[in-house]
Amino acid sequence: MNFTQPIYFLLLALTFAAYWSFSKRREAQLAILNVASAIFYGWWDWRFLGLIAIVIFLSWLSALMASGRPKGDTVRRLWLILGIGGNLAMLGVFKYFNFFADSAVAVMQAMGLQANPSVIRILLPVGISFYIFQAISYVIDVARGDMPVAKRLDRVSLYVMFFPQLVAGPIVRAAGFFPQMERSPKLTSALLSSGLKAFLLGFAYKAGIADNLAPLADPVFGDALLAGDADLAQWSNSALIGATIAFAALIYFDFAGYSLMAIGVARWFGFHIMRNFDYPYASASITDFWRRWHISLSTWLRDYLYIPLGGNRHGPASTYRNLMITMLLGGLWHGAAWTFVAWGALHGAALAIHRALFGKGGRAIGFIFGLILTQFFVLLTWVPFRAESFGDTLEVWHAFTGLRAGGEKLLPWTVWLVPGLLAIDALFGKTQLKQLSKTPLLRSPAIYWAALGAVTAILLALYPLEARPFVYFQF
Amino acid sequence: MNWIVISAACLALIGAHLLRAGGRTHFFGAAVPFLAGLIAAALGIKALTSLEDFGRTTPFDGFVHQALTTAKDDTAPLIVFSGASFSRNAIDEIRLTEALRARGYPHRVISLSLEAASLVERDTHLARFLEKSPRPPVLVFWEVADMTDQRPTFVFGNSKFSVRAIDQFDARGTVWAATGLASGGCAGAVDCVKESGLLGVHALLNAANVGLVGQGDYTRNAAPQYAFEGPMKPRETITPADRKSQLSLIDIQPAADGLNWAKNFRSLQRDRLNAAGIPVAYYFPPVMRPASRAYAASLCKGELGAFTCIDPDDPALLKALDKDVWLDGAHLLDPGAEIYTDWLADQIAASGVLEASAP
Repeated sequence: MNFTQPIYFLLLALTFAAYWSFSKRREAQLAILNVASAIFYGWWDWRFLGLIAIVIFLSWLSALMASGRPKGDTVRRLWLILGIGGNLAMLGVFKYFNFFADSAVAVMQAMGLQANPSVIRILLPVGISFYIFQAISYVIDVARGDMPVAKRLDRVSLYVMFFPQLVAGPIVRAAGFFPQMERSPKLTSALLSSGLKAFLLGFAYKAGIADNLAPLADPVFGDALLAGDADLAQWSNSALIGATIAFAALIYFDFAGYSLMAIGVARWFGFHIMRNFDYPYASASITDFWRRWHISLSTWLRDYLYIPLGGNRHGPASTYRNLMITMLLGGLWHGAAWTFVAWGALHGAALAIHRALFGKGGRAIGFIFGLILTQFFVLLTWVPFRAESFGDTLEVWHAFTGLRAGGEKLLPWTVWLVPGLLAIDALFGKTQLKQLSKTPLLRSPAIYWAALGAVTAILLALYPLEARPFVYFQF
Repeated sequence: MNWIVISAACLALIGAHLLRAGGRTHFFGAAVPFLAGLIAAALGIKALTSLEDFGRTTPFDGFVHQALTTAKDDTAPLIVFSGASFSRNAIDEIRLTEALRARGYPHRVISLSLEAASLVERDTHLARFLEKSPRPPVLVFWEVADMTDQRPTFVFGNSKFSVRAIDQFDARGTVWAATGLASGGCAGAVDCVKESGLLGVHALLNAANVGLVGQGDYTRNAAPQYAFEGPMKPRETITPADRKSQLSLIDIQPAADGLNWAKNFRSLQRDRLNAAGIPVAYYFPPVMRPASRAYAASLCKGELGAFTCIDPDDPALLKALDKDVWLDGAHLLDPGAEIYTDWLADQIAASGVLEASAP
C-alpha cells in the first residue's frame, strides 16, 4: 500500500473518521490506530504481521523484564541482550542472510573451494530496517532510564507499527513518542492545517517530482525496482552524468516526500514526528550534509552507535575510527550489497577528513566553494548507491571525467533543469523567500484556498497512475 | 520528462512551499474558492495540453502515428479499419493492402484496432487520426460486436483506473457511456450500479486531468506501430471437437438492430463522417461463439442493411478456420488472420464498396 495510491487514502479517511469519533476515549483511539497499522502492514503480505508481532513482543518483554533491576545485574543484562540482540538477529536473517551467504560463496569460489550458491532465498519484509531500529531504540531508552517502561503491549505495538511512518520512517524515538500516546489531542483547524501543509509539500515532492524523475534515471541505471539490468555502454557520457543528477534529485524528493507525508498524517492524528530532511543539498560541508539528510537515521546512529563507541571522547584516531564504523554500518543498513558499504565508507572517510581539516562542524573554505565541493562529492557517491555493481560505478565515474568513449544515447535536455528544482526547493525552504507565504495576499482566505485548489489541480495532473514505490521501501 | 512536466512540477513545488499559512475562514469560505481554483486550473491545464498535442499516451497513439506515416509515404486512397481485439488479431493491414491491390484496388489499409476498445474510445482515436491525416480516408470500416454494443463500459472488463480507462471518459465519452447504461447496457441492478459508479469516478478523474501530465507525452513521440500483431502460439487449449461444434453452428437470427444507444451512436457517427465525405461500412471478424457471429449477421440484415456490412457467418470461411489457427475462442493466430484477410479482400471486392467510395 503506497502513500499515493487510492487504497491508502481510503484507509486514511476511514481511520481518521473512526479515530476522531472517539475523541474522548483515548484507549479506543489507540486501538483504532493499532488495527489500522496492522491492516496497512498486512496489506503487503499478511505473513509479515507474524514477524512484526515477534519484534513487538520481544521488545516489550525484554524491556519489561530488564527494568527495575540494578545496572550490573546479570539477569537484566541477559534480557537486554535478548531484546537488542534478538532484534538485530532478525534483521540479520531477513535482510542480510542472502547477502552474506552469497558473499561467502563468492569468497570460497575465489579461493578455489567448492561452494554452491544458497538455495534458500529469504523474502525481505518491507520496512524491517526502520521498525527494528525503532524497537531497539525503545529497549535502549528504557535501559538507560530515559523513559519509563511500558507495561502495556499495545503501547509498544503502536510505537513500532504506527502506520504513517512504519515502512520508511522517520525513525521515531521511543522517549519522544510514548508520552504522546498518553495525551489526548484535540481536533483543531491548526492541527489539520499543519498536517495539510506537510502532506501537501510531501505529495508535491513525491507525486509531482520524484515519480516524474524516475524515467530519467531508471532507463540508464536499470530499473532497480523491477530488477532490470543496466546497459551503460549504450549511453553517452552526458546521459550518465544527467542520470546521476536525476537520481540525486529523485532520492531526495522521494524520501523527503514520504517523510513529509508521514509527518502530515501523524499530525492529523495528533502526533508530532521529527523532521527527516532539512534541505541537505544546501549544505556547504559533508558534516552539515549529515545533519540535514535522513536526520532520524543519522541521529539514531549517533546516539546508539557512534557515542557508545566512544564518539569523539578519546582523541582524533578513535574519532575517525568511530566515524568510519558508524558510516560503514549506516551504509550496510541501506541495503545488503557491497556497493552500499562502499557508499558508507566514502561518506565516513569524508566526514573524518572534514573533521581532521576543519574540526567539529567548522567551515573554513567559504559557502559557495564548500557547497560546490560538498554537493559534487555527494553526487559522485550516489553512483555506488544506485549502480548495480562496482563495474557500473566505475563506468559512471569515468563518464564524469569526460574520457570515456560513450555510447550514442542521450537523455532529454530537460534533465539539466533538474538542479533548478532542487535550488527552488532550497530557496523557498531556507531563505527569506519563505516569508512570502506570510504576505497579506496569501493570507487572504479566498486567495489562499483558490491557490490551494490550483496547486491541487497541478498535482492531480502530475499524479502517477502507475504508482512507483518509494525508493526507501526496499531498505 | 519534457518542459510541460518540469514546469508543472516547478509550479507545484513553489505553490506547496508558499501555501503554508492561510487565514482562517468558515467551510464555504474555503470550499468555494478552492473549487474555483481547482476548476480554473484544470481547464487551463486541459487547454494548454491540447494546444500542445500532449496527453495520456496509449497504444492507439502509436497506431495513429504509424497510420500518419503510412498516409504520408503512400499516396493511395486510404481505408481505415476500427475495431477491438477481434480486429487487431484478424486484420493484417499490409496483407490486406496487397490482397486488395492484387484484385485491382490501389487502396492502402490502415488498422486502428486495440484490445478492449469501446465504441467511444475507437471513435475518439478515429477522430484524432482524421484531424491529422494529410487526406481523409475514402472509407471507414467499423467493427460491430455484441460485446462492445452490449457493454458501453467495455473497458472496465479489462482495466480500471488505467491511463486508457480514464482517457476515454471525457465529456462526450461519458455522455455516450451513460446513455448506453441507461438504455440497458449493463446486466442487472448490481452491475448497473457498479458500472455507473466506475463511470462516474473515471469521468471525474478525466475532468481533473489525473495523470494527464505525469503520464502524458506529446502524441508525436508515441512509437509508430502497426495494429496487427499476428501471434503464433495459442493462449488457451481448444479441442478440435469443440472448435468444430462451434464453427459449424450457424445461428440464423432475424434481422435486428443493436441496442438503442449503439444504434444512435453509429447513426450520428455515420452522419458526421458522411458530412466529411467519408462513407462507412461495417464488419465483424470471425469468432467461435455462434451467438456473437449471429449478432453481427442480424445487424447486417437489420440496422445496417442499407450499408456494406460483412459478417463472418460464411460456411466456407468457418470451414477454412476449423484448424489450429485460434489464439483463443475469440481471436485468431497469424495463420488464421491470413485466411480471414484474404477472405475479407474477396468480400470487399465483391461488395463493390470501393467503387462506390472511389475518390
